[in-house]
Amino acid sequence: MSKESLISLEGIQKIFYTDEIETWALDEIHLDVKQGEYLSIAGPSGCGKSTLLSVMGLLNSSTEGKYFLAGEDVASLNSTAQARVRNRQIGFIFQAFNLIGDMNVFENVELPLTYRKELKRKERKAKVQEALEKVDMAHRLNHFPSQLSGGQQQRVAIARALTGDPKVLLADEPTGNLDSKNAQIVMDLLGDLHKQGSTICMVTHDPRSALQAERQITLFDGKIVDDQPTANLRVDSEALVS
Amino acid sequence: MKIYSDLAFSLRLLRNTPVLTVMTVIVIVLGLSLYLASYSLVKMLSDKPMPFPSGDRYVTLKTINSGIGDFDFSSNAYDQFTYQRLKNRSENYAHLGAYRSDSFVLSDEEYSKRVVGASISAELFSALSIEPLLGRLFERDIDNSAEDGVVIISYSVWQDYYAGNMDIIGEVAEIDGRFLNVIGVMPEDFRFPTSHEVWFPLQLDQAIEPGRGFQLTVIGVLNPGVTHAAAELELNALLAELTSENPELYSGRTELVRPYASSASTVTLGFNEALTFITLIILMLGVLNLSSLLLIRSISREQEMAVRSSLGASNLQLAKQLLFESFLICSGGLILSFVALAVLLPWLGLQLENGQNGNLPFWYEFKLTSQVVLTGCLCTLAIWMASSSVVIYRVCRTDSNRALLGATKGGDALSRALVTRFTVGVEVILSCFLLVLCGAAIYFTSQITNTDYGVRTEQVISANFSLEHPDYETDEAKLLYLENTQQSITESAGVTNVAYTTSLPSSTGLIGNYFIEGRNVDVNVPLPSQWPIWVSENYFHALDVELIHGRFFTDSDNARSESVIIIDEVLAKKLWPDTSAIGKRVVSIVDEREQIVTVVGVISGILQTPNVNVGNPDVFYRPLTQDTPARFSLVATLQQNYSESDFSQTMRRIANQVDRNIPVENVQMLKSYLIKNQGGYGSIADLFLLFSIGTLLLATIGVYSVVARSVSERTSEIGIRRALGSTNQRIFFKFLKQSIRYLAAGIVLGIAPAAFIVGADPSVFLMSDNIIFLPQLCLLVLLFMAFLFTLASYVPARKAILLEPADALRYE
Ligand SMILES: Nc1ncnc2c1ncn2[C@@H]1O[C@H](COP(=O)(O)OP(=O)(O)OP(=O)(O)O)[C@@H](O)[C@H]1O
Ligand SMILES: [Mg+2]
Repeated sequence: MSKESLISLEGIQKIFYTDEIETWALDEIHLDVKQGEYLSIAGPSGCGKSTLLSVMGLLNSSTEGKYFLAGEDVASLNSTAQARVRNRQIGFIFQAFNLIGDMNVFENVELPLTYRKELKRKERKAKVQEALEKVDMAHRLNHFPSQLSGGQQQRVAIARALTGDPKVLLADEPTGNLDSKNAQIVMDLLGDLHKQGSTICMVTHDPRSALQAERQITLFDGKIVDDQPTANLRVDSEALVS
Repeated sequence: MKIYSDLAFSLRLLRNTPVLTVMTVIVIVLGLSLYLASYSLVKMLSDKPMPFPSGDRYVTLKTINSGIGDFDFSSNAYDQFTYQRLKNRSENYAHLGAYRSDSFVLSDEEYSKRVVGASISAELFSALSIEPLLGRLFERDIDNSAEDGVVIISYSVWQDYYAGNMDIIGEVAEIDGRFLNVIGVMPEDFRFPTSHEVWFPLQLDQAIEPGRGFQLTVIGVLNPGVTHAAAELELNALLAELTSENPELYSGRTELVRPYASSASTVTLGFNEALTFITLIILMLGVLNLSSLLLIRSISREQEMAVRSSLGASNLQLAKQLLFESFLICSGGLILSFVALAVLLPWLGLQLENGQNGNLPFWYEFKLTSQVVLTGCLCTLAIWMASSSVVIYRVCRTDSNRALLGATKGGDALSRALVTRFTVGVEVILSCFLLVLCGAAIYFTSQITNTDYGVRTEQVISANFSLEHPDYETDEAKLLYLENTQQSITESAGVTNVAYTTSLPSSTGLIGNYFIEGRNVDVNVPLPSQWPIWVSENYFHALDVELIHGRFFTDSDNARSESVIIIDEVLAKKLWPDTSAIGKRVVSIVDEREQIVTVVGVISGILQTPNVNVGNPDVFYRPLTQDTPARFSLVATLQQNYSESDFSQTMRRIANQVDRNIPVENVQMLKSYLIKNQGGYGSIADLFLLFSIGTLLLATIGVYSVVARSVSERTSEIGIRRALGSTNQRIFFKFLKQSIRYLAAGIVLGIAPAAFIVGADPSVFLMSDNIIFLPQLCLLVLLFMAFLFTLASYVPARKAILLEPADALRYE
């Protein structure tokens, strides 16, 4: 484990047991992500991308292996402590947005903050406002998710991931449910966040989105089969185009 | 073919969700069978048409006397004067007649038997248009001079007592010591006016004064087109006339005209309405549960429906599929309800029959009549349409694109959450409301059925007999009979402590008045009432009643000595709060006979009413050696190895020895007498218990399923919250907080109104104003609901939390 790594996975294995069938979703994953890095995860469908992201977000436990987040062995924490880590250090962006339907935009974005005791109402309000301004959704505070377009919902979801000032943003196909125009807006947003210093891990199928990242890993059958800076890929694709 | 494949598909769906299917069917069976049971009961007790020509026009007259006690008792007793006045003046009736009910003793050479009989207006009897099996009916009374010395008997009396003698017509029957000509035998199963078996022509005294003489029950057949309300209007106008002539007797009275079927029930006014009301709400709860369960089904099939619709199915076609499925469930439930009723109704009938000594009115029918079946089918149709319409509304409103795009969570959760919140709220409110009502009903009835009468009842047997016979005109003759009987019983092994009373515990007989000697009597206030009960000297001892002051009766209290009474402690305290009652003198007025009596003893008290809530009347216990009435009950203590039937046999033998004209009836344990004397409250208590258990089940299933569903519907929300860093405790806490909101709604809109209804007019529930239990009951209901909520939230929430957050997010 290198000192400046924010995320460090060592020998992560994830096996799903269903009806006596074992699925090896992740197999011996070793991965270091540095502070401020923008990582994209690629690979064919079913290769384990979402599972990897879930393990990194503490949404799935790993079957084997060690996981250090900012030097802390988070995989071995109890569930309350893990909840605290999710709340303070991780921001999650889902393909399916996952907003809560009977809460309005403000309440949805405020939600992670309400789990912190030390924040007063006013502070929370300011943080929510700030996050929503970042995604340009501050004018829709009182709308419910069902009254928003898909792109708007995803921007709210990003604002929700940002309000808590997490150490790392995890995004699982954030543009998967969006048309290309909305997808571009979301990608630009992530790009800006990265420029401001955020650490981002993103799963994407879209090669053009992947090019925004600095580094890309490729999974196949639960293993990392490729790991290189996207600068190389850019050269490749430019070569292809010309 | 289409139907067949629909059926197969629906059945497969039902089979794939066994728990949901079973719960849905249980809900229908409970709601329907409880509703139909009470429907047929109320029908019998209130307005079932009579099985005669124009049977729906038969009515009975009732009077409400307000101002007697706290309750409005309805009575169907009319004195002869009032009846004759009403008959002569009213114009709304095709026939108006009356009867006087009594029990009579049939005697012949071998044994005697007591049967229930009626002296009845000949006109009324003929109006039924029922031909006698043998002989003839009474001649019509012209100018009210009825045929004398004749009797008509029922088929079963003819068969059982007269052994089906074909020459019975014209024979002489000895009834109550009189010799009467049998002029007719009625057809099998004919019992009228309620369960009577011998009939005499009614003789009225034309010159009788208002308020005097025996009392009558009045029956009428309304003219076609006359409503009950119109008939009531006329009666009350006639009553107003009577009141102006004789305000003392008639003021405070209101006349009612009720369907004939209500003539036999003694339950309080409003009982039927209360029962109908409760069961209607139970049915509503059933419908609500059904709709919410169907809704749960349909929501879980949203995806399927969306796919079907994207493949070109119209809303109508989608609705048809859902309707078909719920139709299967409903009709299955209906059939099971009929099965349940086929068991339940005869059971109810048996309970009622036991409660009323087997003398149920002839129109009581405890089986699945075609009317009940029809009502059941109509109800099911209504339930089916009501519950399906909710579901169809939702299916048609659901945007199929959103459902198909299902991947985006939260898109349509708002309307779904509203529906859920609404169902949970209504469910909780209705359940709270019903549980409080049912709890109150159980409490009231159990208070009555667990009454302490203040006497020992273990091993005590009782029997009745009457000395109303020409041979027993004098007190000496009666006393001799009593003494002989007592001696013969005591000599036969197995029985001790043989004693007599004119009224067993829980009942009273004659009513009189009294005032305390020497105290000023205000002529404007009616004298207080007293109920004299004559007892043998060993009676109190035989029933372990405690003597508090003074003495019991002795040999020396006889016709020549000073007249004495014993009263209970409560009455003694009431009349002489500061001094001892012993030696005090009271003027007793019974049957217009004034008599000075002296208190010689104070006892611990015997409850002489079947309803502890009504309060004990002022009873004067008197020695039967000082004057001797004609009707008695006997009590005796059975020894351990001696059974009721042993005693019954011995008693019959002894009665035949002492005087075969005097049958001894109703040999039974005192305990069962007391239960029967509660006039069917025992069976009403059973009924309420049944209803309450049903309601409890309905409420439990309903609340649990909607609450659990409302929580599990949010499994993915739980996943989101956990992804954002919520701890598990926080999630439980959130659902707990939400339960508190529902419970608050339950308190305000369910418990409070029910408590208000019970508290405002507890008399609707079986004559009681004792509501001290109400706060505890409300609390109990609340705790039960809270428990149910906690359980129903905890189980699915825990299930969601046991999932890894990633799986919860994936959860549909
Ligand atoms: N909860 C689960 N139970 C059982 N197997 C699972 C579960 N979640 C994922 N898997 C399996 O693990 C493997 C990896 O799944 P994962 O969702 O990580 O794929 P993915 O790379 O995200 O694919 P896609 O690009 O299609 O989203 C798959 O074979 C999948 O079937
Ligand atoms: Mg995936």
